[in-house]
Amino acid sequence: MATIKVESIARPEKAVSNFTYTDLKLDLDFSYTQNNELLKNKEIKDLVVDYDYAAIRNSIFNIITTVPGQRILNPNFGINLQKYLFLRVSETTARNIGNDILNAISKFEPRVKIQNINVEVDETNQQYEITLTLVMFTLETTSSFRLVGTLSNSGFFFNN
Amino acid sequence: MATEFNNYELPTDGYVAFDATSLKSLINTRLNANNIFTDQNFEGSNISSVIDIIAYAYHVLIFYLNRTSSESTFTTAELYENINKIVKLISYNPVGFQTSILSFLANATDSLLPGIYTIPRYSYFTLNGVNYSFNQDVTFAKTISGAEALLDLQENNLLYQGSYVQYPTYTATGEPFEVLTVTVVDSNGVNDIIDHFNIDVYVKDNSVPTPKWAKWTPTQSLYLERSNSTVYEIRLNENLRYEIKFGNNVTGKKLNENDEVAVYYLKSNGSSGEVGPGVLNGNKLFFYNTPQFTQIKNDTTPSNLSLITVLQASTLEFSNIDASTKFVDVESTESIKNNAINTFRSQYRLITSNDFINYVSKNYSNIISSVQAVNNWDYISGHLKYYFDLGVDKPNLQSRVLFNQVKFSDSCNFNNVYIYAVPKLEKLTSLTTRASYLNSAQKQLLLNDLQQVKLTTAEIIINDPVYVAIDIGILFPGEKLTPAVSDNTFIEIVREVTSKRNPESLKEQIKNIFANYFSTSKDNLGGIMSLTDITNQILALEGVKVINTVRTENGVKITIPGISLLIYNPVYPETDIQITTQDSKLPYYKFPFLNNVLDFANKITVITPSIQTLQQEF
Repeated sequence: MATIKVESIARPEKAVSNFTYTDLKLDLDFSYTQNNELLKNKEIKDLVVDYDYAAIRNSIFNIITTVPGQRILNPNFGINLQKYLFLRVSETTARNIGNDILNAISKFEPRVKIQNINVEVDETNQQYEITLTLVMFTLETTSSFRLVGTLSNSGFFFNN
Repeated sequence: MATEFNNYELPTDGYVAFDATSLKSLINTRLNANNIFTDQNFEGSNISSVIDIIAYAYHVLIFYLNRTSSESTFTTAELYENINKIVKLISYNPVGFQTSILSFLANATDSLLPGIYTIPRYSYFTLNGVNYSFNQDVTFAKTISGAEALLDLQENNLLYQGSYVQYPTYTATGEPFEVLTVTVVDSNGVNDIIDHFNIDVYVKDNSVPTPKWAKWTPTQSLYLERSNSTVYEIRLNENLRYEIKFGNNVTGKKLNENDEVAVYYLKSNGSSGEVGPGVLNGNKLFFYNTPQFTQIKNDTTPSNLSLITVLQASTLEFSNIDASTKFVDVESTESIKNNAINTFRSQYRLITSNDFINYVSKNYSNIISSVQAVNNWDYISGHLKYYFDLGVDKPNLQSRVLFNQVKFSDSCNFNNVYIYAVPKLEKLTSLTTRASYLNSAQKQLLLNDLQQVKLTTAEIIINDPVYVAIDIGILFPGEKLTPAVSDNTFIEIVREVTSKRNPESLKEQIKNIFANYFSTSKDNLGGIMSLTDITNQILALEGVKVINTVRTENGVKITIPGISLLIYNPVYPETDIQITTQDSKLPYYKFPFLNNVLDFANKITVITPSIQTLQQEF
């Protein structure tokens, strides 16, 4: 086994963080880690990141909005909610949607446990309101939180 | 610590061995080495998605890097464009399309007075909508006042499929090594099919007071030429267009500024231009004519030549008894790889047997399917001894040998180089079992060409192969071996009991394996007849379990496992005949053909064992 040495790339300092999970925030944006007006030019610019709750929220959003096959390197990733697009908005479909979300989150998001999934049918607007009650047991303090989103013919969006 | 971090444990060929998955894993490892990001380990995270995109993009780039790397070397290049450019480094010129060639018979009626006549170059016949043209001025003599067969004309000349086309006149810029690229495309942007060996270049030197057209000649390499040689190098480039390159007054004459260059090329109809026997019969000869060509003809035809007139041409009768040769596509990548090495080794001079073989097979692949070359010693100890052993007291008088010896050899034999060539086209006549020989005109064409590059002292004789028939045969004990043993001999195919294959289609497939293996278009002259190879091909067919050769005569049955091949010379079936059940190599002068190809499927029987038989077996 040969080794390639790249001396120009120095090892970065081990970061000390108060958070358990750190994810990239999309869309990409810069943040300023110092704010010393005298040293404005030397100010370190870094990418904005999401921590803990926000990071997990990203993950769940990605799971729900990714259709299997879209991630080339992991084609099984995601849920195919598009298959319900032309089906009648009904309790049965809502149950199926709930099951799909349950299976996918259990499979791809090990950081949370699902306490409850509630898929409500909104026949008037031809959409579903999905409420996820999740427990973040991997954080220092176990806490539960709710994510509420809407699934309609224009896609899935979180409401909170 | 820093050093440790900078150690990327990659294989030595890592940059090409990387793929998306390994890159993703590497990025994750590096991100895990510090705490800045953590979510790369969770598939759902944003950063994981971004890593996927980067890794995949890198993967695609690596794929193209690999493709590019492998396409840049001689051994690994597979694309025509690339191998064409690579072999240019060793001055190899790939061969382009080769049009069909037609041999003909010519007669002059008594209306043509005795004399010497010349048919002007590019004259043509129109046969069923396709043209066949002469590629040079053709001179013949009419010696008697009555009707006469024009042997000189028919034995030394051939017709080439296609019509000559005049390329727009090019005005030279006068630069050293000036290149003219012949670009002729149809309305769809597809290149016209130009015959590789029939592109003529004429140059009119406008720097002299009375400019005249002169025909320049092609050369293998300008670097072998003198400063005043009126030559050009022609090369089929990677875009399948011909590049005509002129000299620089050091190696090959340079074009002067405002010199005019006229190019005439033979535009072929491809495989749709092939014709069968008799198509030429009674067709009228047309003369090629354009204002520029008339001027060129006047300038380049020697004054002592008497060009035939339209009226005189109408007294000539042309016919053909052979079909045209097959149209040949551009040289393939594989072929370029083989021929480039051999040509480089020979440096365009024919010294060793292999040089002759390579040269002929490269340049005459439209006529010849298989070729061998031997010196006089090998010829005497091989081909002539073969006839001696057969009991032919004077092998030199054997008709084919004598024919070639008289037509193409001088009286001194020690310096002879015998080239055995098998034509691509099969000729089956009722008189002889197999008569696939090059005709005199084709042999003369080869000879004329080889004269330019052969060793000065070598005398070339184009010889005909000895055809041997291949059949299936088993000999009963005490029986005399004759071709008749094949009459009741069959190939027995034992089918898998579960096979659902139609026995008739299986027979047809097996017949095709034999027919293909012993096809005239195969390079089998002096080749190995591998029964192992044929057996493996048959066993690879779905449903075939066992192959036997079986002969039943008067109720007695003999079965031999595998294939028992009968090989005999149909001209000497009593003396040159043998049976073999193993791989064998033919001598350099023998070429195998499958006897009675059309009926061969009837020599195959397919049996399926019953379930009961299987139960007994187990």
